[in-house]
Amino acid sequence: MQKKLQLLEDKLAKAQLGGGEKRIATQHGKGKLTARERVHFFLDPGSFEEIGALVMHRSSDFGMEKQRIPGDGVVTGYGTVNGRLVYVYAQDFTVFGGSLSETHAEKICKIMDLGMENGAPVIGLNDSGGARIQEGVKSLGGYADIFYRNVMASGVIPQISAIMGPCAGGAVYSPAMTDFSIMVEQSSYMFVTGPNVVKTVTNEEVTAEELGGCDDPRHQIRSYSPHGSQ
Amino acid sequence: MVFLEFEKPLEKLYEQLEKIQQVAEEGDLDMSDSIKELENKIRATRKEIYSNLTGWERVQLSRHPERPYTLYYIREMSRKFVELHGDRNFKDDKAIVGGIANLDGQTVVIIGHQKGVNTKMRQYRNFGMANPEGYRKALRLMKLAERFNYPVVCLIDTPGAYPGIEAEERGQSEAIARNLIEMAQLKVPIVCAVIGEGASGGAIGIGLGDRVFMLENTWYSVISPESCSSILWRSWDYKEQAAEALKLTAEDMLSFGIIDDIIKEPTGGAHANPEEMSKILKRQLKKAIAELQEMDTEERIEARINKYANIGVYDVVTE
Repeated sequence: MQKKLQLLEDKLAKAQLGGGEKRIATQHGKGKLTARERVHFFLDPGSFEEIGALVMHRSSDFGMEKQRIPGDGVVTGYGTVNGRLVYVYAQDFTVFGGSLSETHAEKICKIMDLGMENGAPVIGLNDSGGARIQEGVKSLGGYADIFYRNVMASGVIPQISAIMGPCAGGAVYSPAMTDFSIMVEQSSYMFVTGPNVVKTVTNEEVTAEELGGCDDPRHQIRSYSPHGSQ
Repeated sequence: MVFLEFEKPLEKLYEQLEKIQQVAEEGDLDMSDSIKELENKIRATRKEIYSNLTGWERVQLSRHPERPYTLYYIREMSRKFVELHGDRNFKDDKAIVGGIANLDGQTVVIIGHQKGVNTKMRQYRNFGMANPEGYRKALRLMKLAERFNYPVVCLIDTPGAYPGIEAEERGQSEAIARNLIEMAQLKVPIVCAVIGEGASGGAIGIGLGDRVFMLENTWYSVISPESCSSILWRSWDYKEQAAEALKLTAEDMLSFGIIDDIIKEPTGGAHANPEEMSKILKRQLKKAIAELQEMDTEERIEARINKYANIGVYDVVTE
């Protein structure tokens, strides 16, 4: 029994670390916080209840079976903001670049469903490289599940997205469908394909900031500078 | 202070007043009697001028450089305002602003044309001339209001929709037309107010609502007097005549049934006392919203559509 409990403790501890200390340090080095830290600062102190901390992906292709990280790149759960119940998910860039797998999507869908059932806002803290290529079409199916819920929740509960880092490919469609989208100046981007792909396809050289930064006239949703200068 | 042409008598009186005040200050004399007399005279002259304004004079007043604009009204009326940007298609139009505001506890979505206060800002705001993305942003915000059941308030102040090539390429007329369709059947109350210039499609693009108000010294027309003059007389010199012929004042609009009420401005126009003006406007908006919220959604939409269907004069020919 003690052994089993210890196992649980170990797994939970591993989930806390996400992609590992080295990757967390890289994230901090870029002046960004990890998903867990974002949730911590976003919600009222001590109000966060995590759901699905130990979920791991089911893929066994391309050596993925050797890399299984509890939480699978997204922290989901609920808590309060100024005393109001909200459901929140935060993508963890330290785990496979925040990429979306089948199970990652399932976790997001679960809290969206709970948000709708309980009439509480769903808030996404997005920081994702897009679909997890190793899972192929399964991860795209995950996007479909999320988009479906975005549509069904529209007009039912408020949906808010914060773009906290580079968001590319499939990861940008869902924020584009939510009621409010907020970007961080200088460090967050939204585009279907990044500057490298643009270079390969059209030979055009653009910076990520030009292509999908929050000063990009195509977005101009609402930007906050991390330094508070607006 | 900026004086318009027809305010010349006032300007002279103000100059006199300034001189007397200066003399009184320098000579340490008591001239309060003559100051008081002059001030009374100013008040009387102003009242006289403003009780008898022609169409063209009202047009000039509506463009007064000191006149308050949308963001001023929003700041005065609402404790908190969250501006939302972008149409999620092309870019953010600076000529139309919009967001979520709070009128004494009633959350509303306010959308309005915004002009700049100095040359640099006027360019930034494109002189209040909106591009298609501006109307699409407005529509996006109205749909947001519908989803969260917030009434919509539109403040109109534009010399027209932007007539550039790029605007046409992006579908200026489509954007405005779509707004008309969507606004006609929006499920939440819409209250519009012309707070300055209300020119043609540029104004109607965010100007279809359950209640449409005009401030006293504003105009609402299919074309500006200058453009009308240049088409009819091939010169801008007949703008006064055009302004009369266009019947563009608030009284004319009320008599045609195009607007529902005229909102009185303080003497001397909205710019003479913008704070008072904001209070009057807020009172009217709140009253209209409260009335409209009493109505059933379907009933409200039907009344709105009927209201627009009944505009215009026609005879039915019987065989």
